[in-house]
Amino acid sequence: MNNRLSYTSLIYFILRATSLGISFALIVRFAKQDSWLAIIIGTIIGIIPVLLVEYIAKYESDKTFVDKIKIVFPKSYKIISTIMLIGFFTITIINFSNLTTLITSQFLSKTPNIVIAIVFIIPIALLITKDNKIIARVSLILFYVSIFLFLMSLLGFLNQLDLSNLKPALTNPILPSAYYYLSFNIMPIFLILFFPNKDIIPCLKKGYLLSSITIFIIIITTLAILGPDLTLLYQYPQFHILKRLYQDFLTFRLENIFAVQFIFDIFIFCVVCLKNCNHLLNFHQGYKQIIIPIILLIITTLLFATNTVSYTNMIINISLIFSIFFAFLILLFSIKIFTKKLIK
Amino acid sequence: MIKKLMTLIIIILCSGCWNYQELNEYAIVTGMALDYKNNEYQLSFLISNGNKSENDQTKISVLTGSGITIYDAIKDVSLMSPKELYISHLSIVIVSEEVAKNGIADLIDFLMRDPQSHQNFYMVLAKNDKAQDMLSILSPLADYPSQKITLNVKNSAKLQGKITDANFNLFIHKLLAKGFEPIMNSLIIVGNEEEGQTPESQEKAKQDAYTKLDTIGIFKNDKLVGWATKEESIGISMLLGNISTVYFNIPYYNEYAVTVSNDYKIDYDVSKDKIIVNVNAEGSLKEISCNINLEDKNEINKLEKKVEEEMKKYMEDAIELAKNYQTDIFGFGNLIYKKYPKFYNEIEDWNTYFTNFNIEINTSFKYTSRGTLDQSLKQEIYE
Repeated sequence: MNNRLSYTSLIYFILRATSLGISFALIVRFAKQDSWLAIIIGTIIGIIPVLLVEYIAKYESDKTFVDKIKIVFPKSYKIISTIMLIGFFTITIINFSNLTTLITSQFLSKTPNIVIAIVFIIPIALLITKDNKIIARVSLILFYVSIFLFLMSLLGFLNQLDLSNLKPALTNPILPSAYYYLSFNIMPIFLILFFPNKDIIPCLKKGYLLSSITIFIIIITTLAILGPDLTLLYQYPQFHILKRLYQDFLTFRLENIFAVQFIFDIFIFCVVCLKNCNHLLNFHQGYKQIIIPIILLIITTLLFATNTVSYTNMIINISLIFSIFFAFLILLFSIKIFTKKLIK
Repeated sequence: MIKKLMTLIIIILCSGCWNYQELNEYAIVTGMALDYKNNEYQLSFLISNGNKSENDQTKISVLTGSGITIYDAIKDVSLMSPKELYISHLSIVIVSEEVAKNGIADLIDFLMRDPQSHQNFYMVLAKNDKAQDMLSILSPLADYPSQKITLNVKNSAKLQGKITDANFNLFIHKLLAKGFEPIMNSLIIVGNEEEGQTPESQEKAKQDAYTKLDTIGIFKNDKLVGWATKEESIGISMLLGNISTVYFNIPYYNEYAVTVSNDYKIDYDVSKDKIIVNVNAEGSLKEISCNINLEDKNEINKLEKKVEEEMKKYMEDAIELAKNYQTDIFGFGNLIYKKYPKFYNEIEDWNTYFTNFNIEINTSFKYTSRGTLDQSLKQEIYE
């Protein structure tokens, strides 16, 4: 049971990271006050890739995902692995830089990005040297903290919710937002395949549902408190509403503590992504394991961490390209497995 | 080896010593005032953590700087401050009438953008006087002028309808919302302002000067366009529905029956051509200067009708005022937008359209208490 909860929490964090970190602004940009509907539509359509991933996980379930790629794509294995590696690494850079930006812009405006990056890269590097079970256990501990903070903040917002901010309904384009939500969810779903199949299969739908529910609640709370106009204006509206807990709920300022839940999401996401990069590179032992985190640190610091303005659009475009690639790969993988089973 | 190295780095980096600064190295700003002088912003900061005086009281200090932008003015102030300015504990922002008339978008942008700003503060207008003078008026009832003004706004908004409980967040929410215009409380100085700034003034039972909340300022977008009277301010608060207690001096038999409404509900029937505002209130008698029999049900009914008429008059006057200034401070346009978005979007300028828009007001009032007296005292004396 605990093992299942550990993997559910892992999926929960992975799926929340990109949705709350990168796609949040995009979802609100198009659907505005109808964003909650976009999340519902995106979640419903998102069940398809979840089922496909489950289908892939069930195939040759005693083998690792890297082995499965070799079986399903014996000729193009290296090309696919390389693209996947680039994809995972790029998405990690994007998420990691988003994490440092969040911290520098909202909490520690005077602290250099490099210091923040180092502080996070060390536990990330340490954690990826551990096996999957330990990563899952760490995420379980963080999950308890995250859920507690989430529920407490929700309780604090109850008397601030103004649901009339969600009106007028159905006046904005919902489908582009649903598409973005779905796109940014596909790659994280794909990440899950690298974990042991027997552990991940029973937790996949639960983790997906749990993360979707929390994302839905966060988006509806943000819109109900700030309204669509202010939500669009703020860089991190989901963080900004936490400042309002001080008014009615708390007599002291704890928004930074409550915001830790978003940091956990990105932290676990980066760990899983880099762990998968190590899987693909076959870096399983010794110093090799921390090569990727060190490269990540250097690239993030040099390319992104000094500039929070110019890379926003680039992030979106790159993320979307890789999302399409991973969606295509899930589909292709499923078809190949299906035809293989059919031939047998 | 790797683990040991990582542990060492974590110990060094996570010790919390990065950019370490003692609290006494910060100049904690609790109040801010913005004026205009020679086409430049004149920004004043109320620093509340000065050195302690002989009687162990913390001294306050007001520093004023100027600049062509808000940030420029802040940097000018910081040239005078030996400590780093810290605006996280800002509780009041006072804006002069002149600045407000020219628009406060610059100020709002700065306050929203700055990561230090917590945005839980109140904004008030300095009516008739300079905003910076208001920051310096000391009060024996509060430690700092900013604290005095903040508590004054909070409590007055709770206890009477003339003052709105609109903080910065609500102001920007209305500023950005479709079909809604913001309002702001105002502040005046009563007495001799120069003497009111001295610590000796605090020692006196009757102060030389004090700040007092005044009527509501009306905005169109980010610009102040006019002032409401006391009655119109009550009408505005009633129409916005954000009042918990409101009182009325009801003229009755050439005297007054002071009525307090403490249970106030408002709802709106919205259609494309009309908004019907339904107000249901309950309240109690607070003071009766007229000679009436309070046990007579007819008298109570008549009084209730008078309260209803008075409430309606206050609200109608407030609507008339807003229509004159062509600014929908009640958010009727927002109600239309939320119910009929297509219709709203077809309207070129809601504020112009609003001037001819039909608003109907229905009021209902019931007395639930006569206070601790069952009868009018004058009735008992003169009967």
